[in-house]
Amino acid sequence: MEQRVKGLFRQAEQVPLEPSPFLKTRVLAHVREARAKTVGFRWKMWALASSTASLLLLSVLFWPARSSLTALVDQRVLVRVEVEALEGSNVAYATVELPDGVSFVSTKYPEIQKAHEVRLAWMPEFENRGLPVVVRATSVGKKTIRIFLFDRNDTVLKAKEVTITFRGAA
Amino acid sequence: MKIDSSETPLEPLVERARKGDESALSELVDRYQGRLYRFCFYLSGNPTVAEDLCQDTFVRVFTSLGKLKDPAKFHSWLFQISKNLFWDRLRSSGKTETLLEEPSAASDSPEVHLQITRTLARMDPQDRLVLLLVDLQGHSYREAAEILEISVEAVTSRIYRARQLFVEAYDRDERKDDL
Repeated sequence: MEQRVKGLFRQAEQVPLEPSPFLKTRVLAHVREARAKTVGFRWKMWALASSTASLLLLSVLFWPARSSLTALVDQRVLVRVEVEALEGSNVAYATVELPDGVSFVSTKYPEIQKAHEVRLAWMPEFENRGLPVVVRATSVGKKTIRIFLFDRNDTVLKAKEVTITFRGAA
Repeated sequence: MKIDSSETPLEPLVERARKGDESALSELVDRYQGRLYRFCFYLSGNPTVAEDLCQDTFVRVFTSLGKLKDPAKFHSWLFQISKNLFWDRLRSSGKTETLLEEPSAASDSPEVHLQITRTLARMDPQDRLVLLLVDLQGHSYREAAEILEISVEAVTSRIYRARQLFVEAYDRDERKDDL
């Protein structure tokens, strides 16, 4: 079976399939633009959090690098990552990556609900109130959310994995 | 994965790219665009979507190279990001199964290519992904597990099922064409 499938793919590889010759030019232009651009995405998740009564709050410290939590499927979960210890470390922005089966929740920014990853401009209030991320899982199981903090040179300063075990509703 | 010994070794190339060296970025695009485009094409079944996925993948990879702890894992990481972007696109298109448009028989591509594209279009995207990673791209089960963020055991069972479904559907379509 394996040989048959691989054989068919090898035959299909004889068909030239190439991207546009301008792909590289476009990619490099986008990369230049992204590097030059100041991170502009203003995160107002706290506004959502304060107006949402049914939100489960899970709070974790940025250190240690891994944390484990428990929540229910289909429940909005606010993961607040405490970052006080990072004071003075020149954080420029953060990225939050979600695994399959977990999505962001935001009524103000519905476009992020379908994103796998968001990039957040760093704001001073994160250092006092924590970095807030509101998510919802659509399936049970362990899901790991990855959070990275970057400086202006796109160097990772800190990385954090928050594993949440989502269980079905009782 | 096969490595061409005449190529610049990957790790120093990725290190240079990480520091913003544009010639290194350019070389990485040259090196991977063919494989990535073919993967995206069979994944999406649509040349325009494949081109967009390819472009978005490279841009995402190059703007977050700081996150890549081990430059030797660049290849797997590239395909992992491509897979994630594909899922994002599936979600935002509102379709849960596929983005694929079946190719028309009037296309001048050889029959096996058309038949493969048609067969993949009918498969579950999870099965399609594992099949393309292992049997088209030549990733090991371990690499495929890293890319798909599942266990090696899950890859083993998924690829077994995916191959079976693919061959059955391929043969069925071929018989239909013969009638």
